[in-house]
Amino acid sequence: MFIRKHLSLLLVLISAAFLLFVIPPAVFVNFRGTASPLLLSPLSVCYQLYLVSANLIRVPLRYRELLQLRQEVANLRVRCTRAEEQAAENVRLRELLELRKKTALNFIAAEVIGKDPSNWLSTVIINKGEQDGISVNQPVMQGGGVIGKVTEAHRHHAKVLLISDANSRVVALVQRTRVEGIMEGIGGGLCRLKFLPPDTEVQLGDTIITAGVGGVYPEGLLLGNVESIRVERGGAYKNCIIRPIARLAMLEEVACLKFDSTP
Amino acid sequence: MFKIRFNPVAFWPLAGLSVLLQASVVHSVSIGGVVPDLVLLCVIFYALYQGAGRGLAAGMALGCLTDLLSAGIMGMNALILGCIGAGTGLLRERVYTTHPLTRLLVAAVAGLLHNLLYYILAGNFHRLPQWHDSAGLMWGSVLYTSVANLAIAAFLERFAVKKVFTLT
Repeated sequence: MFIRKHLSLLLVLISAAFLLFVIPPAVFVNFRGTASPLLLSPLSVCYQLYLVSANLIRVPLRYRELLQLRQEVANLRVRCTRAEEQAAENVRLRELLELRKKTALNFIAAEVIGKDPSNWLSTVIINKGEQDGISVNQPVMQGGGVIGKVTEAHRHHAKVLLISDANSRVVALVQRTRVEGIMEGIGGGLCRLKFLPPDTEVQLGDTIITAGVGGVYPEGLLLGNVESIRVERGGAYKNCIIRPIARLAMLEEVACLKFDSTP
Repeated sequence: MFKIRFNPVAFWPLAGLSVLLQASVVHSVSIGGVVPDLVLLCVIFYALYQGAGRGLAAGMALGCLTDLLSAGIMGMNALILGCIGAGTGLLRERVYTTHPLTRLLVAAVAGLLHNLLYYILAGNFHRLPQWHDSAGLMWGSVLYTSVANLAIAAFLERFAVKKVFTLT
């Protein structure tokens, strides 16, 4: 009786589910690329409102952060000068050893104009697309740290999968010990570094960088710091929870990396 | 005596705006990374006033708009919100729709269903956080969405529902 009464509703739902499972995802991606620009301008305005409101709440914090950053800039200037000297020395030594030139990095600046409406996915929309030189699998950075990679590049906008998303995988290194593991997103703005050998020496606060394996992320980009360490049941592997260096919760401007890994 | 008149002209722009707000401003009120689901609340509100058929249509329409901005599978939110819209609409004649407790419970159940269906269905297409990593996120989202429904439903009611007094 109930089914007969609501047969039309059931038919609509079943056919919608059937379409969803039958039509290839690529068709949907193309449709999204065509239709979503209509929403981008109003979304961009809403996102600016979000940034203003979020920044207003955090004014006292921002002031403290400003003072810390000034101190940090002064320290970094000193370190930068030293690094420049070392880089020059490195170039000379490489030439001597006839080593191939390392990857050359270029950036395309973009603004974040929206976030994923779902609680389950960690992606953002940026206002640059294929027309500006953005392509799929391009690494994206903010504040010196990696935030993710481009997964959908449309004409005037692109979607960036954040490193905290469960679909994200990055081959990463513990900078201090050079031990390699796989870093995956676990949601909530955090990541997990997996498959570290149990005898690996990892400390809280250790810096995690990209290993340069896989062809997406070049070597040596900052990913995050170790926040907690856990040994898996049975002791086969050691896992670490990583807090990304980039502030994934409030992204404004980002830099899309163009790198040439050819010698 | 009074009759309730639903004003779709006032409701639909607000519902459309909810999709944009969900992808932007709502994140400024996040608690521990959890945000209330405004789109779901709009679908519930509409379905409770307009019934199962229109609830299904509203769920699918707003779900499609959400899918345009999401990186997940296109149509996933449309299907899930369509189911929730139809299900909530069927409750219309069985519950006292404007009671705060009803609103709280309906939003909690709908929020839970939304998260569970998404976890089960979307898991076929792409990876989602592991259950033990995401249980806190799911329950937080259900709680936040159901509490937010008290304010959102009152707000929508103010603009989209008119009580017309009659003599009979």
